[in-house]
Amino acid sequence: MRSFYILKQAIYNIWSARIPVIIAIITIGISLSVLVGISEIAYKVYSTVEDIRKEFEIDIFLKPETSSFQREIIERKLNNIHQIKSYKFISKEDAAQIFFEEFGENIFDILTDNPLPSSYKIKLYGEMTHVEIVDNVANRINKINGIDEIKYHNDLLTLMEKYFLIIMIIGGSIIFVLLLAMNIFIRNTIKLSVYSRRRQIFILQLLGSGKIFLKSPFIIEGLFEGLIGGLFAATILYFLHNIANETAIYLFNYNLKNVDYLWSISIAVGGIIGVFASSTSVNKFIRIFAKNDY
Amino acid sequence: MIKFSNVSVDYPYSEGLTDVNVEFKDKEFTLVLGPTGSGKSTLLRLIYMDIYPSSGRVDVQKWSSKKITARKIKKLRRNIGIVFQDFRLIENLSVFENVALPLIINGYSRKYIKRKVEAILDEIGLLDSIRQKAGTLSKGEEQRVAIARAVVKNPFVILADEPTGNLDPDSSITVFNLLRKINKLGTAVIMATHDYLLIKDAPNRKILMDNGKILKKQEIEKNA
Ligand SMILES: Nc1ncnc2c1ncn2[C@@H]1O[C@H](COP(=O)(O)OP(=O)(O)OP(=O)(O)O)[C@@H](O)[C@H]1O
Ligand SMILES: [Mg+2]
Repeated sequence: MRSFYILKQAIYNIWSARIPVIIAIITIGISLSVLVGISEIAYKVYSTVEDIRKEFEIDIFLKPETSSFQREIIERKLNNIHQIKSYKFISKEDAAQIFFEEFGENIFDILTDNPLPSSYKIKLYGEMTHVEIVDNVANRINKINGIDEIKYHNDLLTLMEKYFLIIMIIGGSIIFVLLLAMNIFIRNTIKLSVYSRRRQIFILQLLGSGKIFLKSPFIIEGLFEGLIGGLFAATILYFLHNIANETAIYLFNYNLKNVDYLWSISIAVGGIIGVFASSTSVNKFIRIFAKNDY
Repeated sequence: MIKFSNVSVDYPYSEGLTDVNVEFKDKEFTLVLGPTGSGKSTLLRLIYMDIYPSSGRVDVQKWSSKKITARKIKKLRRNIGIVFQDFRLIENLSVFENVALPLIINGYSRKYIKRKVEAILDEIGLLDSIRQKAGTLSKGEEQRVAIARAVVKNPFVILADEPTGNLDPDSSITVFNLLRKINKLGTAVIMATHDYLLIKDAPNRKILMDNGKILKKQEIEKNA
């Protein structure tokens, strides 16, 4: 009977304040779709950066006359550079094979002698893949005897490091502002509801009502706004994603990945914000409005 | 049992009560009389701990104003029925829901609530209005519903602050008699009123207040 009454009150509250509730839901829907959209993009950027880091390699080419004894010394020195996660030796024959696989042409058909040097492919630990560290490692490698040339692509890393932080800060600020806006809109409807129910709340207090009983209808109201706002956001995202996907197919013949999880994320985030905004504000509004002065 | 020990209440611009000592026994019917501003409402509000003494203490059953907490006030109020001059019903709820509220708050089962509320409404002659919205009743009916809401939780005391203040003489008599009937069944009643005509022949204990003080017995007789 308690829960039935609480639910009934919540529905009654929502219905009596339907215009502000609808406005709040629309605001939440739009804000949430932007928020989830930005998070999605930020996540894509982040994982791309991580992928680039993971695949980052330093190639070192050995002088042609390097003996296996010299290689042992080189490897021992590589082992001593703790930023290095792994290295792989590629012999002249391996290099020819790779060349064949990539270009479909056997160099021995053209040349009698294999001109490709033997080399090492070096991977660093992910967290060590930063411009300065990479340069530093490269310098140390360069000092090792028997090394002919070092190659790595630092320009991409430089670019990434320059813009990654800016992108994350801008994205983070927009998300923060949107969270704040949603919080304010939900609190506002809760404020209106508490205000219009102030007499009832006061009477319930005189009857010995506990906090939970008083607050629950308003928290349910906030939850409702968050969930429906989330659903609305998910719908917006669904259409946006369809448009983006068709554009991607048209322009790059590239099919974006399935994003069904955006539905559950939008609705869950909406619900959490709804409960958070209402439960953190309802106490205050009850204290302000439900007094013996109606 | 309710006990006031040297209770004073300071309001911002005036004194509500000055050094009041008084006791209300279980099952007793007490009329609190006195002119406007004499402190009757203040006395009752202290009992349901809507306000606290500025000095002194109020003891209500096992609860004391000295060490009450929000949680305990909730418990206290579940054991006190309160009736106001302006009824304080929730107009957009039905008569049934209004009377049921204290039981809903307390978490009773739907079956128990239905049985209990119907029995009480039958007792006060309002069973036919059970589905009506409280806002559509006459004033006399509203006050009877308010009394039903106060007794439904089997309180040990009912506090009635000018319960007949907004009622015509006939309804006033009905309401007063209803409170006395409830008292006969074992619930203490403390009723504040300045409707002297209504209570003049009542055999109940009378306390006379003036200017925030309870007048001594002799003074009451002198005044009467
Ligand atoms: N909330 C308040 N703030 C300031 N002063 C108050 C407050 N409530 C009561 N008072 C003052 O305290 C005194 C006692 O008031 P109280 O309401 O207890 O009297 P009463 O006997 O109930 O009067 P009435 O018959 O008009 O209801 C009065 O002087 C009143 O002005
Ligand atoms: Mg009064």
